Amino acid sequence: MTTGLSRRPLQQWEVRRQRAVKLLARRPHAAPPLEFLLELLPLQSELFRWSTEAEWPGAIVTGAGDDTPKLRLDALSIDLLVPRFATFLEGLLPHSPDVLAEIGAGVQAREPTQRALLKHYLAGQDLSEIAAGLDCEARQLEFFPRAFMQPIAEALARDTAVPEDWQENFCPMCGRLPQLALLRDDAAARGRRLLVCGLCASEWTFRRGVCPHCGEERPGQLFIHSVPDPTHVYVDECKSCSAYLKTVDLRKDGLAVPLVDEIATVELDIWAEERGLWKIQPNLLGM
Amino acid sequence: MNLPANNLAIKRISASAEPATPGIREMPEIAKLVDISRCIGCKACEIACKEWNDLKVEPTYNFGSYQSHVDLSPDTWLLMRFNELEIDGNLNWFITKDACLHCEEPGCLYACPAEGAIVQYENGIVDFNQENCIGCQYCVAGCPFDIPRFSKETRRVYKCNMCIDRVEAGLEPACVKTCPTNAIAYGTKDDMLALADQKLTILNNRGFAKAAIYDPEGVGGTHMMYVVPHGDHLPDYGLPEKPVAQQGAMAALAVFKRIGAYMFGAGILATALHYLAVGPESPDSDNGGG
Repeated sequence: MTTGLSRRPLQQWEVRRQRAVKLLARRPHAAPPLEFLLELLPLQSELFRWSTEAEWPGAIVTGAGDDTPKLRLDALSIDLLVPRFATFLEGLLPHSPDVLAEIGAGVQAREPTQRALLKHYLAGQDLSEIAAGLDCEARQLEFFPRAFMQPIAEALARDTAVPEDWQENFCPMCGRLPQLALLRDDAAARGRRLLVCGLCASEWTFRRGVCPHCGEERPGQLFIHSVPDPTHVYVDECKSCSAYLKTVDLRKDGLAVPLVDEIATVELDIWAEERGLWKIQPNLLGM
Repeated sequence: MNLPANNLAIKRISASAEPATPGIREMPEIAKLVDISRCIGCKACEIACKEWNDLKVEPTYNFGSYQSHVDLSPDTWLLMRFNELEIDGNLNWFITKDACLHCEEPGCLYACPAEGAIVQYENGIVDFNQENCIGCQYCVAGCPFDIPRFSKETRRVYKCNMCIDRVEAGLEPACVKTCPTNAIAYGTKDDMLALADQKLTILNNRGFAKAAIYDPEGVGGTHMMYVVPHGDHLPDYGLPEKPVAQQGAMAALAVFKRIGAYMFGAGILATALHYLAVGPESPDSDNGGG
């Protein structure tokens, strides 16, 4: 069963924006990422709307086995995407931090670069070569195709049900890794743990006491690091593989918007990195 | 355990206002006592229930809980429910053995309009007789614990029968037999109440000041009781705080039966009086002597 963010059309973008505004006032130390997010969300919202109206033949795999992701990103029409990507960059770059603006300008300047970047990203291929040509790091360059594709993938995924018995640590819709976990009470289960996809924002149920990266389930190897404020976001650490991801406990703050709250708790990422941990899937802003 | 075999004498029958014929033997009331503080959540009782009662295996999946299934069903009469709650900053498991509590005042039986579909025995067991069930599901609505489950296949309702065939043979129910930590005890109701008191004292001494026995008065007490460590958190165990058996249907049935009986008697009396006053009807009075 999947509920929540990815199931609600359009209005979710406004919900995210309002949450970002609220957290901006409450958590001034997280202002830079939140302010940038506030510039990004309207552009993504527009892409989401466009994507729901566009035709995407072959994007959803029907009749696939239950262990295969349902969304075929590499089947999306690059010809259809590239013009929108250029428009997206045009709207985004004036509001981007200097480093991103510089890299983005390089992408914006050449249509073949945009095409190659999208093609590589959708196929899940390494971006290092393109990044080298733009004199930047692959993880910095990844921001652009990911920010662009997020709302499109979300729109494509929202109408397809997540298989109930999906047990994998990658997204049942697009096959990408989870960016965060959330805990929620519902009619069937208290404290249901769901992983949230870093790309299409789909949610799928995952076992509570298991590392989503290496599958470690010995209690002595799994740690929770919480802080007094906020109490509803904490770090899940696996000592076996040194991976971490943040969990948003919606039972403690039902008004939290996981994707936004995750970005607004940048201090937890800094602390985890200082501890020598690495994140299973950095958020959109690279943290 | 010193419980007699074949201790099944009927106490109440659904859709029947008359009490059952008194038995000639004294039947001890039996009860199960579930000590939640000793339960380790192994679900062996669930398996034992399925095995003994020959219930169909139902495929399940990880739906985000430690429970085996989301809910009870016509083929799952016993479900260990797992809830969690933070108390004073510590995670606490609230495990409940969810199955029929075999109420002394059974709301299901009171609500049932089908004669003989639900039977309460003198020993406290409330059993469903599917042969007489008409599938109306009034029992589902009448149960304050939301236990009976309707089968769309057979159009009948099912629930735990406390392994009545085992009890009749002097054995304990299958869940009691299999529990590896003795969290489920079985015996006479009086013995189980005494045991519950002992367990309560133990829990109190262990620091569970709000520990409680769950044997709610609103249903006249139950024949499956709980000892819960956190008696102030009954809803977190999935236990209603003040369950009540609705006797309205039963009372209405009794009134209508009585009225029907009076009217029947009155009809016979009127016929007799008419006979005495007018005499037998002659053939001439109807067709003019033709």
